[in-house]
Amino acid sequence: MGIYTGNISFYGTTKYTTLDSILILSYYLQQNGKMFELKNFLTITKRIEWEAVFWIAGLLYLAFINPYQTQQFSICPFHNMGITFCPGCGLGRSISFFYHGDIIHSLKSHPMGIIAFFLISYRIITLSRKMFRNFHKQNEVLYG
Amino acid sequence: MANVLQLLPEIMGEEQMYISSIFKNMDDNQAQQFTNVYRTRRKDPQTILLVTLVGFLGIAGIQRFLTDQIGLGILYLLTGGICMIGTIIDLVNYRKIAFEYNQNQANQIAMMVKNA
Repeated sequence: MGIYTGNISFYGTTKYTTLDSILILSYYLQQNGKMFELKNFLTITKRIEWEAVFWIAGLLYLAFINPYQTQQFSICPFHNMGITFCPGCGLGRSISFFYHGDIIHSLKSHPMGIIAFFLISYRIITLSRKMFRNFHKQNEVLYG
Repeated sequence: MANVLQLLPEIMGEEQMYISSIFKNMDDNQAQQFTNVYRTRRKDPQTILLVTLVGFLGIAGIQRFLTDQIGLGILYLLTGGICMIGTIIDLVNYRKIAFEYNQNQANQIAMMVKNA
């Protein structure tokens, strides 16, 4: 990390950190006053891994619900259509029980809940690593 | 320097840019060799899309198996694509899933070709 003097060439080595690559990108877009131009806005949205955003949002949502409450509504389309058999139902509550440390209820709600939590976490890590690697690479291409 | 449009006319967009950046460090012979291997290993985004649509018929997650994400594939298969929500996400995201796999394959093949 250094102070941005307006010239990127003082980065003689290519050892960027994650934060660096994001800062360099935002710095250049701000410098040219183009941060909020549609084209640049679209390139930024294209670089974001929306799948990772979705998984993180899902796992965070499950941290804030109360699994002990009797269920008020379901996001499952099968459940809402009136079909009671659905292999995925209970997965959310299972992960929520797991957050509360209630392993027995978690396994009763859905046997794959705990495994699902770790699989999804692993996926989030893979996606974010890939995203920041690409940020780095594209910055190198775009801004030297 | 080899031309992507000549060697791999079927790829486009992000993938094309990525492959052309790989071709920058290769001579013509290596690029030809890379093309031959890459064409057999690459997954077409359209295949991923079709296979994702099969998820609505009950067998979800084939796209994850095809792109080497076996853990998530089993999760999708046993939970009906996480109550179909996961399938819908993959439907929106199918290009990125295919590109991610192709990018990994391209990196591996480029390494192989350069060491050969």
